[in-house]
Amino acid sequence: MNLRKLVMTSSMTLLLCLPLTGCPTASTTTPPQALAPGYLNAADQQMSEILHAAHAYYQRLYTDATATPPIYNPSPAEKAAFNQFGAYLNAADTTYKAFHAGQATQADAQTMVDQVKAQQNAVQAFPGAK
Amino acid sequence: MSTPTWLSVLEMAGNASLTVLGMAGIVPPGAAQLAMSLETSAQGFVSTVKAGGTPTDQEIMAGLMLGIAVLNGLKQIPGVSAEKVSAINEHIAAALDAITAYQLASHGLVLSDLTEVKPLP
Repeated sequence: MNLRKLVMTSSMTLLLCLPLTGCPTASTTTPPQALAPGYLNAADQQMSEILHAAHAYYQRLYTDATATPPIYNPSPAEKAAFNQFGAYLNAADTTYKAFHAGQATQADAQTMVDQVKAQQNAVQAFPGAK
Repeated sequence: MSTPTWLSVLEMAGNASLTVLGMAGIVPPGAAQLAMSLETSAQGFVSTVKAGGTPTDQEIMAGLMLGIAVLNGLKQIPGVSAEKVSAINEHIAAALDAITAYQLASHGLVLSDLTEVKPLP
């Protein structure tokens, strides 16, 4: 099913009962996630998920910005933020892989992943910032 | 087929998006403030998730989907240029790609997928 259609359709029934930011999360009733193959613990899995998501986000924008003609034209400020995002992503990948090789701590990896998340948020905020 | 755990997140994000669309149509003079407040909401949400220790998949997915909802709302605000809407659409498409990648990673670790990215020239 088309994702946008799914979102719009499924949300209609909740339109009048869910506030924009006041909806309680389901964290109190959600059972613990099962650990997927290859992960050491839940935090490890989430770091990987975040890094993979960041890669996909980065790659989509990069591919469209370097297409001929470009599909996406970032402003100079956005381009700078985007390239910083890429630099953080490469650094986080290195640290995360080192963590899996026993050559870095989980805290080190988490710090780098948090940096990637923050910069991705900054990049995504650009379209509405001006 | 079991219901995806993030379906309720899609519902929440879709609801937020619809709310934003309605607000943008009703109060165009406050569009800039609306945009700022929406962005602040999204950033605050992510910060809350980060501050809360280890977030769940659902919480992280909510962050991504709320971002999409905010972007969808922003591009409906009167006076937003076609160029800006195009940029917003790109970020929405990228966020959807990110959600897909996130879901794939949730099924198992593939370190070889984490290859070096290149900067924009």
